Amino acid sequence: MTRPTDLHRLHDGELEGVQFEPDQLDEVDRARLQAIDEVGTAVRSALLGASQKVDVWSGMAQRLAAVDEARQKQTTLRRWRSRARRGLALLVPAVAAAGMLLWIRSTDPRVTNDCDIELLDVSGATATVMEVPDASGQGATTVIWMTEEAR
Amino acid sequence: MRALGRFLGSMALLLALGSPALAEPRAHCAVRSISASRGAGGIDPQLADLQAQLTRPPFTEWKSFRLLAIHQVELMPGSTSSFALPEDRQGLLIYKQHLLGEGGRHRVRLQLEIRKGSEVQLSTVFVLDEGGTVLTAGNKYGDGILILGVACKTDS
Repeated sequence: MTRPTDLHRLHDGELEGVQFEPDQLDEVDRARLQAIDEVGTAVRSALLGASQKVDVWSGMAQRLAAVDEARQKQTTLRRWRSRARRGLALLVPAVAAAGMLLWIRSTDPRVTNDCDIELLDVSGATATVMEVPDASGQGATTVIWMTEEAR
Repeated sequence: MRALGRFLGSMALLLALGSPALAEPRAHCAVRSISASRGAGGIDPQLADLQAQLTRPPFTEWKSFRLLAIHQVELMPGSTSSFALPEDRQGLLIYKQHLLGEGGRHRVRLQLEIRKGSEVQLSTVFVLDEGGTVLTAGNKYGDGILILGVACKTDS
């Protein structure tokens, strides 16, 4: 009777260069070899069958789709952020400039009566331009005073 | 550095848009006709903003100041408005130009005429601060004189 390990190696073709004469195997060895072969076939069939039932691709495809969607969302968000950043970069200086102009204009809300007479023509009267102090006492109101000539 | 450039660019753009060369604002003007007489009566409450001026020379000779009418008009640069004045006189107000004075102060160049029949009794061109008042006085009215107060505000 041959050792079981040798029978396994013989079955798996791992006993290269070692000659086995058929009469070297007795009935028990042959029966064992057949059993090893049957078990091997059964295990292979079982594994193949099991592997065919597993749908690996559909699971992977779902995950890939989710990854793709997440990537698209990230890209959209990145684009929006970039646009918002660009918009802010234009808007902030514009708002600051407008604010500064408003501030400059609002720093002197005092109403003044400054008046420059550029041309003065009268008929049948004489005219005098004079200035009368206004309520604030700091400015003056221009008065064009006409004295009608006697006719 | 880029932000500073944009800031200065915006300032230039806003100033250009606000400059009279590109967009002259409308003027909202009011011409007040005031009668001044020697009789007691005081100053019309509607003329309270002119109290300081009307109680000083050359107005001290008159003791009663009464608002006769207010002619309010909205003018575009170059446009004219006419209005009736007492004793068959006619007034003419021409908005000639909007100007920016010192410190960005808005000013208006106006022409005021007072006519009686075919006679132009007064024709004057003046530049006045926005919100400020200029007075003309001396035309006879009743036993006193007629005073006109001109003031304008702009849209700017």
